[in-house]
Amino acid sequence: MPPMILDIARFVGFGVVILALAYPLGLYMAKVYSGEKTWLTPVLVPVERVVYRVAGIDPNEDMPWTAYAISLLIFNLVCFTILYLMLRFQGVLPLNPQHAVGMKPDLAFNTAVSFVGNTDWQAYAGETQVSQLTQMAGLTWQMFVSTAVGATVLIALIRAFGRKGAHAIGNFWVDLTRSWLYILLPICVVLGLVMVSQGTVQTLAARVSVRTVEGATQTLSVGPVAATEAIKTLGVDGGGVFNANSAHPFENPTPLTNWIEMLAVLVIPAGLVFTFGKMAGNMKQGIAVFAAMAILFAISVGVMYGFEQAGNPNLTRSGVDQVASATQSGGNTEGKEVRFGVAESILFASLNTASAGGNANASMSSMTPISGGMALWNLMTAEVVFGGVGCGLYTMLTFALLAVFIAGLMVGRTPEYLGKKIGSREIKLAMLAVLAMNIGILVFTAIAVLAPAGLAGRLSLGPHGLSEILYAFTSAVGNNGTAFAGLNAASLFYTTMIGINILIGRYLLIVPVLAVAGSVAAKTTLAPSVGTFPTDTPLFTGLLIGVVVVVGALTFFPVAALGPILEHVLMTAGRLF
Amino acid sequence: VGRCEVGDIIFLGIAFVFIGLCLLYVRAVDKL
Repeated sequence: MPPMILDIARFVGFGVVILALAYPLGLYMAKVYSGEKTWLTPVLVPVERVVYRVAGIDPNEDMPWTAYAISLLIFNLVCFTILYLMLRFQGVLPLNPQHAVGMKPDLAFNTAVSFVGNTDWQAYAGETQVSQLTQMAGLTWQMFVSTAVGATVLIALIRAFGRKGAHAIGNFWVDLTRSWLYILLPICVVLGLVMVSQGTVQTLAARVSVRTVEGATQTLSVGPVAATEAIKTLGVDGGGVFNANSAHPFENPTPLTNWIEMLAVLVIPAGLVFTFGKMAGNMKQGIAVFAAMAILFAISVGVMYGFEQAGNPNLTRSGVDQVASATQSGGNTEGKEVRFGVAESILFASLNTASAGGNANASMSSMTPISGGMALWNLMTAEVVFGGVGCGLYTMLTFALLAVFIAGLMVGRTPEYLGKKIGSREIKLAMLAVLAMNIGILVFTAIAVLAPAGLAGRLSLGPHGLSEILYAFTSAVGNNGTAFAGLNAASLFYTTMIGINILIGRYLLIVPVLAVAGSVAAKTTLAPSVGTFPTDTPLFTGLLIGVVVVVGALTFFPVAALGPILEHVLMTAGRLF
Repeated sequence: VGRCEVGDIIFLGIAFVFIGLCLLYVRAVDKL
């Protein structure tokens, strides 16, 4: 069978498996967030009650959006402070077999903000700069918590659409607790054990000495990898124990773990779309959004695969055979693990940039310019293609509000979404969220390319150097965490700027989204009429895709033209960077 | 190792000021 057919079958197979896993998980999550009984309820309800009692939480309290947002912000500030102090003082804290010293203040700030903000951008090397205590009780714990925080915002928004004339949108502490206790923790226990069974290391030791096949002795870094790996992928986080992330064989030892990691990254964000459909009382609404995400994802995979498989034209001109055949996978293999090849590297990269995954098993910088540019495009379209846990869908629903507003303007209908009349207040709030991200990317990139300290961080010159800088800020503001590679992000300039950018991308989106939730909860629900633009049809799916693409294209096309697009043109003319 | 520096005040300050501004942003957005 031709290699390309096999690769396409692999992509389709992945889609089928993710759909088969995401749908039942989505229905389960809908039950969890609605407070209905699940098969885990008898076991976990006593634990949940203990958590509320110890933390002094009244689970029956219904919060207005302002109280919900304030609880979230204060909770995140407390989490940041604890993690920051842990990173700074890990040298004098226990469980430090690698004798890691405290991080410098700017790096501790960058790392703490990154993990509390669900970005997991890593300007440090985990195997040498983080103690086991910090890894487990600091970073891995934050992966659970920050993922749960993203889910709370989405659930509050979905719940608000189902309420009529209400002043409250739910209880932040209850949503938070249910997210990690009923969803993340049980799946992570199973996932962690599966990873261990495949050879992912899990130990409190820092290093192990082994004898190589040549007879020499080699010291290898190890650690609590399997436990981290489980939530790193399931929580769409991305902060690995090792600097090489999922390209490291101790994090991702087999082709099966590569698939498991990819499935784990997408299963909750995809499942939440069905949770949305279920909780909205119309599964077609969820399917319409799911279809928009799936089409955008298929385009991303198709473009990246096509350009990577075509390879570098300069090598072809030099007589290098890059065509896939029975004896070679072909294509551009620079920066890729031979274990995974082009197809699985592309699928991994695509789904981890389309979602807020932040995991990597290949070097983005080594991809052909358009493939790297497609990964960048995925980040620029606000990672709404399934996205992170919660944040992907709540950003997509923000785009949905813009879509119904634009449709209303075009055909003269009153904008409505899920039975709620969408007014100027909701559109203003949606635009505040969209603009925060755009400012975070464009303004910060502009500062970096003007400042000597920003330019000093580049590894490459020309358009590729711009892509390195642009990618870093796009990844940070999108709370993604993948790196393009090449950029020295550990300098004072970048640790500070990227840290602030993560804060902007996280909280300046969450506040307006929660305000939208408060606004729509207070409205009455209208019955569909002849003037209602249906939002559960293929037409709406197309409109939604159009809004996502146009907002991304109009905003970022100029800078993309100076980065990956220019690099592609120069590559075809024989100039490489 | 284990000592506070001026940088700690600066970077903790950035986070506290940012979240403080976000709390004000909540109030401002509520009045929008």
